[in-house]
Amino acid sequence: MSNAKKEPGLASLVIVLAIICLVIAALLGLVNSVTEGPIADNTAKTVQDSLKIVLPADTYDEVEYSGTEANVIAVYKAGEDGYVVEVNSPNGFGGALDMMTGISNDGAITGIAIISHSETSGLGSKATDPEWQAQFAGITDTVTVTKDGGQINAITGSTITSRAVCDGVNMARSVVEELG
Amino acid sequence: MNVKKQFIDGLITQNPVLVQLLGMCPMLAITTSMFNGLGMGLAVMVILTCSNIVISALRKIIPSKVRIACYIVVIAGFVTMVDLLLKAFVPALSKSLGLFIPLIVVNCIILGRAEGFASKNGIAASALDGIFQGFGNMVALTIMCIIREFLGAGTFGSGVLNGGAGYQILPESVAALGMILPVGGFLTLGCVIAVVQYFMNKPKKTKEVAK
Repeated sequence: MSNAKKEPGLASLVIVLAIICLVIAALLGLVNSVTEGPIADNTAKTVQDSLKIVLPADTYDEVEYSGTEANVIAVYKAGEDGYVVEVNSPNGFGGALDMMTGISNDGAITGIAIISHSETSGLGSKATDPEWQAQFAGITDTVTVTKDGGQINAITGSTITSRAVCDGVNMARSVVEELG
Repeated sequence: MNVKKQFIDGLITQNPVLVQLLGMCPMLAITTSMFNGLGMGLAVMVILTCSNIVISALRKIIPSKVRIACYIVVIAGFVTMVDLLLKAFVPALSKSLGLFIPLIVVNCIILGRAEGFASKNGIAASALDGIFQGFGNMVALTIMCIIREFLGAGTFGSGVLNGGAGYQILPESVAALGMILPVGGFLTLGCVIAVVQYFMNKPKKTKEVAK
């Protein structure tokens, strides 16, 4: 095809490509300005909804955390009832799991929630299933999967994901213990 | 312009996935529930149609030496827009497909149609090509999803039908977990391609015998 047309000079190659890039960049800017708000709302809503699930309270105040646990994303004080800790549990099957754990003042887990993950759809992704998550509630000890002698029934075919969730919960516990 | 031929090409004889074997990566990775298949199919269809229209419109302006770079810029632009729009307005789908939406940029269906069709044909024909090829891709994805979901999780239409839960047809203990894993994807894809090839080659063979 290119033989039929006369060969364009270098300048026109650059100009055409640059114009196309500029137009696309402008369009992207436009779309971004429209979607920026809703995306931020969605993210904030996910966080708020998850906080309510793991430890229901009227107010959540973010607490400064400067302890030893490296993977902490945020710590919230849930009214006077306890703490919600958001951590990044690094050893999931498909990478890190962003998750929240609620721990009440008496040291019992009140609930967990997965904020985002990249686990296998249909297997590890079952970690987001509330029925599976329910077995964490009330535990006051370090959690491990039954395969490792613990109390958590791992998701079928997803022991690695289950272990990563347990790790996240244990991190949250040590953070709360540090905070006292 | 032959609309009917383009339609049949997209759906069967030149089906992007089952015959041209393009875009295998998302095909194997995300076809685990009907929701994913339909969502991915629709996203590809929209992006393919848009990029085909734009590339066809620009086909006389784009110098052939830098055409691939131009195509990729156009495609990446549309993919990013769809990604942002999904994140903003369909967060559930965006979460479920995750990385595979941005990866549509390098999905060879889109570049393949840009290079093979849109750069040589008019705008209307390219738009139709985008719709039909996208539809063929969606049908193939959905077939894969239905088979794998049924054998792997025992459900039908999860994420779409019955308020998102789908219908449990096989008890969960019977379902073969492997079908949800990548190995199940390869097995299913092989079988589906074999079936399509069998039916496509059948009429030809009978003719040869008749001779």
